[in-house]
Amino acid sequence: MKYFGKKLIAMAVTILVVSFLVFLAFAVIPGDPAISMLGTEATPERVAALREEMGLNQPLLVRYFSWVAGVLHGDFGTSYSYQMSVTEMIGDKIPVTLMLTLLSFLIMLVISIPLGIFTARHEGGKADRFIYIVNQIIMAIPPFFSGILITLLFGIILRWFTPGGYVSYDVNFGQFVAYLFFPALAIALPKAAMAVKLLRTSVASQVKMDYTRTAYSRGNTTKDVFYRHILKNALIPVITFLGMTLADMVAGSIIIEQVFNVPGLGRILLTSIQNRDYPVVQAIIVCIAFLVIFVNFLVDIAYRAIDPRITLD
Amino acid sequence: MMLEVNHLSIEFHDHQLPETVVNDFSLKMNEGDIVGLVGESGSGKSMTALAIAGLLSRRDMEKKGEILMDGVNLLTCPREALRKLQGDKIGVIFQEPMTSLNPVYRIGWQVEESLRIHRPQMSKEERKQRALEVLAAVELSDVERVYRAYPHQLSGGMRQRVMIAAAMVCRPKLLIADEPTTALDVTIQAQIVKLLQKINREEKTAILFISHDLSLVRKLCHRVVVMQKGDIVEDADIEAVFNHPREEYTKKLIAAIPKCEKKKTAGT
Repeated sequence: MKYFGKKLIAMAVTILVVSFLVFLAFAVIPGDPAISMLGTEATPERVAALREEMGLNQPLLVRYFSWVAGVLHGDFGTSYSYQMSVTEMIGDKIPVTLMLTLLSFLIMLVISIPLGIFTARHEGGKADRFIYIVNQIIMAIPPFFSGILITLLFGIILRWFTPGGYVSYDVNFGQFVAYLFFPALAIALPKAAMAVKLLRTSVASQVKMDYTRTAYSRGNTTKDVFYRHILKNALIPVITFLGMTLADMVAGSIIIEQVFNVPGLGRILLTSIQNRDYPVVQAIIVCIAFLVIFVNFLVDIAYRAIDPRITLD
Repeated sequence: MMLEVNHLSIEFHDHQLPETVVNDFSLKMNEGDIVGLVGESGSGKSMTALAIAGLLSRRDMEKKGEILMDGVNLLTCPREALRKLQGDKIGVIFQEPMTSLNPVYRIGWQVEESLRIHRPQMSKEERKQRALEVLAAVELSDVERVYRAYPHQLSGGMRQRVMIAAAMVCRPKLLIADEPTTALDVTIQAQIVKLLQKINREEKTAILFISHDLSLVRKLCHRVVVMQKGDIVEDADIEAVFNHPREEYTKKLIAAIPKCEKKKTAGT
């Protein structure tokens, strides 16, 4: 319990620091939200009046803490560009990005763990060498480009999905997931390639360990030595990687949402940055920060479950 | 004859020129024998031990001769037959107790492993009972705690006792101890040697004790085989070797025993 308390405090502090940095960044970089709302034709008096109305003339810290106070009550402020509540604006986008990230993660797991095990067990064989080459190629392709290739192959040539034919989750959940599968694949592929390589290397290092020899000396079959003894140890570094990847996938989804025309957090984030719509940007970044911290917390727990040498305190 | 090694040769083929690491090695062991296998690093003693344990499977290696355990030739028998002997008839303990146990499993699980493989008819309770019994037999205290512990929670000496317990859990006829005391400090070394003597006395387990420490070999073994660069240079009763070493190499090994140790052992 002590651990969870500590972790909660650390989470809160991290989110505070991240949100403050975002606040600071927008105060430092050039550009004025009042001007971007009114256009460059606006008179200086109108701009000044709007700045006063938006509270932009108040000192940074005052603005920051009044924002924090609002967030604690579930109010992320009002969007400058759309004049609507930020909570409302991003509320229905969060499930889209979450689902996209989750699907990418699942696809990565489903591809990388069996393939990593396969290459590790057949190290040096023809299949291993073939997978190695394919892996290198996939790792070198950035997700947005593999997104374009996937659209071309599965969308235009094979017609397995309609490019740009996104279906909202409240219209048809099945079609929503089916459409997101392809952008998720684009995000997952390079990460899966990395995970395969990592698992293979990790297994190769565990095979040489003394406990492997001990396991053989007790009459275990090669299969049992692999699955019971080696694999559990080999997965430890892979879990670290998977955790980092999950956080990275949220960022990856921002680009991929553009390629596949998915109305998630990514699109709204990009337009908000362009429009200097600070409240929206802040809210999204805090959400992403929360997700990343939460994932790290889950990774810590997974660690503890698999490696007894790690204690949570 | 329980174990019979006839003209064993091991040759590596992973370099341009083949390298012979064990050359024409022969050994006979009966129930209850304790044989020391000594020699400096690279003499081939560990390779011989691993071959007898059936743990040499590298493809770029050629093994000649025969290793007969209860009449089964370990070099030519199917892997299934070899696995039946490993852990059941042959137990092995290694030099490094710190790394020889799997770090992610509890001690109890690891001690019981050979039982799960070779005594599938035993119930979970019976297995635990036997594991606790054998942990107590290797003189570990608070066996319930040790049973639930992970390797990193135990000291080096305790881990080596656990390794011995795990190797002895099926009551093997032969225990191969590959430098089991090298990584331990002197007091623990003496305790482990005493423990091996006790196991030999009570269970009639034959022990093949590999070491470069002649004073330990003298305390424990009935017979000693001295190896140098893959060849057997001397094979005789322990006292005969110590009192009348025939080979120059053996004399040098005996001379290498620290003086105070030599005096003490000479008096006993």
